[in-house]
Amino acid sequence: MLKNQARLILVFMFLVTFGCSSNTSKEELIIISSQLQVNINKVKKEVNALIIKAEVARKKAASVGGEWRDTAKFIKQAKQFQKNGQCEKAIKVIKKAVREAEMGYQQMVKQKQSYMPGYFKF
Amino acid sequence: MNKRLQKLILICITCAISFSVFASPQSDAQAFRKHFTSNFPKVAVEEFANGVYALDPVGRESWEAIEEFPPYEPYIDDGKVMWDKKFKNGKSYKDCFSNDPAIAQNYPRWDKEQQMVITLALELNQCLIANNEKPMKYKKGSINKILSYVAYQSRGNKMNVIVPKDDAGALAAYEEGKRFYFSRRGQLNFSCATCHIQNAGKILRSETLSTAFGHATGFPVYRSKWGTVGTLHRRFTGCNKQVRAKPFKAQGKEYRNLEYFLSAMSNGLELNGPSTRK
Repeated sequence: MLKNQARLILVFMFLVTFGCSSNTSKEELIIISSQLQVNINKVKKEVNALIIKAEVARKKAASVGGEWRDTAKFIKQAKQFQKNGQCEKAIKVIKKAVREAEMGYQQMVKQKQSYMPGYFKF
Repeated sequence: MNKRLQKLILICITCAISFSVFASPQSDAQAFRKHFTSNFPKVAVEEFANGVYALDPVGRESWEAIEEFPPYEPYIDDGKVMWDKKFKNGKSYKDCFSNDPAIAQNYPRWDKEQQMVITLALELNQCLIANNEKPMKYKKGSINKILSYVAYQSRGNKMNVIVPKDDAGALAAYEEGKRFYFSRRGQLNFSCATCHIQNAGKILRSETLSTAFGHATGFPVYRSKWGTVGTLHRRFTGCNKQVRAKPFKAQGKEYRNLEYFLSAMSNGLELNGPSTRK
């Protein structure tokens, strides 16, 4: 999505510079282009915030010995998607990482409170 | 019922629950043995040391065939060379341990000075470090050779892991190991006990789940999956990954305490390492 928006901006910039003859349409193109840029920046900020959130959650889970196997891998994948401009994919994967980290923490906190199963009596 | 009596009853119930969780290692081991011997009445007690092959007759047939020419034999031979070989400073493992390598039944042990559980693998490396030698890695490689040699020399000795009653640190380490064993973890939400106590003897995918009783007697093991001999902590790592939990460090505190608990539960069984498994 982000790449497509970037492409659209370039097209609009081109049209602004070399395209339509009327001044009014050029102004409209500039407005649309800056709106697209705002959207791109908003999405990038969202991805960054989610990556930070996932890292914090992962460390919290690790602090109680509850980190799951794939959480760090998902964070790494999200960073790679972000680097490639694939922000939608990054968001999808990073949300998984956040959820896993949160569940891992809750799981281990609950286990610390009560871990002996009912089927086995010492 | 008056408030005082209610409080007293509540205290009694809390104590009862506490005692049931924090029973002594000796009573835990007895209960552990009783659980498996009563759930598998046709299995002789000493057979539990053979793991899944005590339960799976088809698997046992191929295991017995493998044991005629065991794939861990070269590791025992290489391990003997390592045991006898002098370090650069002229000393050897015999200076750290004793001339007799039949010591595996005493590990892991509680070290009062270091206030931690010491496994055989850890102590071997401590010996190397003390003699300015490079320590071995804990899951793969040469450590499996010397562990195989020591395990083989210790065969027939009964597991004798001691948890000193008068040492709060040792009891705490034991309890941590026990807690680890019974705590669910990972995305699949399994504990060690889920497979090896609750569902021991049942089939998971294509494999029969082995019993926890006897688990620690046969390591290191030659696993067909690995194509080599590997340590108990390597297996812990694999098990944790299989339930989609992030594994802990081999010979880290978590796995040493876990080994402490697991080995204590097999006290009285004869050691039979190294062994072969799928």
